[in-house]
Amino acid sequence: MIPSNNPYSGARCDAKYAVLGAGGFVGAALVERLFRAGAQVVPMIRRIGTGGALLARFGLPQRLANVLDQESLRAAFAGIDVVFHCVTGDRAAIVQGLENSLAAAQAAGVRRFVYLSSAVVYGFRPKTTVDEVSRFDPPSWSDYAKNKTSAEKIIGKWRGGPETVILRPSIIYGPRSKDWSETPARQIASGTAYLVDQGRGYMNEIHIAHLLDAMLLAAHHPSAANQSYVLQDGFGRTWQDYYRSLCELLGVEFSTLAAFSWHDVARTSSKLLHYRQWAQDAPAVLRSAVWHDPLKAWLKQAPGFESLRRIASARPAKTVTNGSGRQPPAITPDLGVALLHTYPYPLVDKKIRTELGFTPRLSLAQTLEGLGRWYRFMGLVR
Amino acid sequence: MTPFRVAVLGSGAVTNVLYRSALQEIREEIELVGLADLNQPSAEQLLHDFPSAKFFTDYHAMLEQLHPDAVIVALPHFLHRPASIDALRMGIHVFCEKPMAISAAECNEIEAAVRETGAIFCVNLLRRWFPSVQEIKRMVDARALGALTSFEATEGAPYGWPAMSFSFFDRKISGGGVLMDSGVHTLDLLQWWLGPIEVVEYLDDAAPNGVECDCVAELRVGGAQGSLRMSRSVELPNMYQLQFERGWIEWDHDDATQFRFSSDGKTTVEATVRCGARWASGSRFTFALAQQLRSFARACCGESPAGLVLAGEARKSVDIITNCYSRRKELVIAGE
Repeated sequence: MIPSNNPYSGARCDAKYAVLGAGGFVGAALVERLFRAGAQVVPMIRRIGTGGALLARFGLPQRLANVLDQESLRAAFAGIDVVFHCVTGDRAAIVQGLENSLAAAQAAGVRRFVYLSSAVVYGFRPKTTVDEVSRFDPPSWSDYAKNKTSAEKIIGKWRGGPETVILRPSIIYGPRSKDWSETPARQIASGTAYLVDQGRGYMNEIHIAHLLDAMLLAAHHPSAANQSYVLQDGFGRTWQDYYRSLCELLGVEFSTLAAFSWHDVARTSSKLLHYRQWAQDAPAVLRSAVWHDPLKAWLKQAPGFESLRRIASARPAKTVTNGSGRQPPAITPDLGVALLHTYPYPLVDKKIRTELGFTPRLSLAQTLEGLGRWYRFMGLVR
Repeated sequence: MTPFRVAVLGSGAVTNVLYRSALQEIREEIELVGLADLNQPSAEQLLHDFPSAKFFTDYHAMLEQLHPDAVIVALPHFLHRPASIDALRMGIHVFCEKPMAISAAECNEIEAAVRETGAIFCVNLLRRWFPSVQEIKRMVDARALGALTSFEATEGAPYGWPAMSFSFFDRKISGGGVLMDSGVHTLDLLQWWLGPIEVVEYLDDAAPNGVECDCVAELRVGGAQGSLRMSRSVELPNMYQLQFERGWIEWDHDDATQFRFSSDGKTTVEATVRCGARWASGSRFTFALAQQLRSFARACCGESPAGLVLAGEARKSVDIITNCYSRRKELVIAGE
C-alpha cells in the first residue's frame, strides 16, 4: 500500500498510536490504515456517531475523549508514542483543545505529535506561490482560518516535547470526503453544481490515501521533527478539471453545469451582503477598522474587485436549465467557493518531497476509480 | 376494567425515543408498572412520566416481584433471547424490540419457549403497520402488476441514532452492524411483500471482530433477482423499487402514506393511502408502535393477534441475516 522504498512511510507494529478526532473523515481513514497495517491504535472520538460506526468495523475499543478535558487526555495518552491530532470544531476545540492535547502529550511522554492543520492559514488570495515560509493571512470572515492560525501559533511557541509536525493540506478528497467528493457529486447529479470563473483556479487537492502516507512520514521520519509542510497530489488540477472528471464518472454533460462570474457572486453572496449590512450599521470608526482588516486585502485582489466595491442589491438566485422539464433548481453562488474556484497559485510542496521523500503513489485514474466505486454504492452511478 | 400491566426491560435510546411516547398515548389501556435497567439515570425520564412505575436494576427481581401481564424487551440485542425466554417461562407475554434475536439458532430457542408456554411473543416491526406498506402488500398479493421480475432496496444515512453506549458497535452485544440493526426492517418488508428470499451473495466491510458499517447483498425471490444496499456512513436513495411484468412500485422508506406505481411502465401514479392524519405526521413511528402495543395487549387478553409480527414471522428476517453473515465476503467501497 505504501511505497516500500521509504523506511519511514509505514505504520509500525512496535509503536502505539492515538488518533484524536478519529470519528472524522481523516481520523477514521487513518485508524483504518493503522489497523490494516497491524499497528496498535487507540481511536478517540468526542461522541458516538457516524465516525463511531465507521470505526466499529474494526472491533477496536473506542475511547470517548474531549480535548477540552486535559486530565482525560493525559490518561488516554499513557503509553502512546505518536498522537495524530485531527480534531475540528469551534474555536475552543481547535485552539484550547490543541493546547490541552499538547500538554497532555507532554505529560504522558508522547514522542511525536502530528497536527493536521490546513493551507487555509495562508488565506485565499496569496500574492505569490505558497510554501511553508509564506506569511499567514487568514481572512477575517473565516473563523476556521483564524482558529487554525491561532492553533499553529501555539505549536510554534511550544517547547519541551513532544516533537511536533504540522501538515497543511488544502482540499482533501476521495471516498468519504463529504465536502469535496460527496457534495460536489450530489450537486452535479441534482443539477445544482456550479463553477465560478470557469473553475480555472488551482484546486491544490490531496487524495486521502496520500495524506495518510504523509501523516505516517510525519510520525516517523527523523527530519520531520518540529517542521511544517504543505502538501498536495501534484496533478496540477484546476477545479474545472476536477468537476469535468466527476461529470464523466456520473454521466453528466459537463457543459450543463451552471457558470458564474465574480459579478454574479458579488450580487448574491450572503457573506458580502452581511458585510455590507455590517458596514452600514457600524459607527464610522468601526467601518474604518474593517477597512484595515484582512478582508480589505482580499477584496482588493479579488478578480472583479471593482464590482465588489459596488456591491449591488441581491438579485434572485441564478437558475439553470436541466432539460428535464421540471422547475430548474435555484443556485446561489457562495463566496468561499468562488474564492477556491479562482485560487491563483499551486501550493509548492517541494519541502515534504525532498525532506521526507513524499511521493503520491496513486495515479489520477486510480483516484477516480475509487471515487466511482463509492458513487456506485451511493446510487449516484447506475 | 383492570388495566393491562406492562414492565419495560431496558431504558436505552429506543425506550426513551419511542416507547416513552407510545406508552403515554395508551396509558388508559396499558399501565407501566416497572422498569429495569442497570443504569438508573437513563431511566429517569420514563420514571418521571410514569411515577407509579417501580425501578429495578435486576429484571429477574422485577418480574418476580411485580409479575406483570407482559414485558417489553428493549435491551441490547444479545439479551433479547434470554430475557424473552425468562419472561415466557414465567407465563409473561413478550413484546420484543427488533431484531427478534441475533441468530437463527437463538430464534429457535425463543420459538420453543413460545410453544412450550403458549404465551404471546411478538416483535416490533412497525413499518408493517404503515398504510402505504399494507397497500403495497395488497397490490403484490393481488398480482395487480403481474409477476415480480426484479427488486432493489437501499437504506442508509450517516449514523445518527442517539445511542447511549457503544453496544451497537460491539458484535457480541449487537450481533452485527447495519444489516442486523436496520436491515432487519428492510428484509422483513421485502420477504413480507415478496415471499421467501434466497441470499445469492453478501458483502460487508467488517473486520472479523467488528460490525459492518456498509453492506451489499444480492438476493433472489423465485426467478426475480434483487439487491440490497445499506449504510451507516452515507446517505443512500432510501427507496424500495419493485419491478413487475406490467409495471413497477416505488416506496420511499418510512413514508407511511404514499408510494408510486405504474401499471403500464409509462405513466406514474402518485398514490396516497386514505388514512388518519397521524400517519403523515412526524409522530407516525410512535403512532405505529402505540397501535401495535394496543393490539398486543388485546391479543394477550384473548383477542385475535392479527397484524402482530409473531415469532414464526419475525424470525424470517433474522434467518436471512444469519445466512448473509455465514457467507460474508469483503466489501471494498472506500478503502485504498
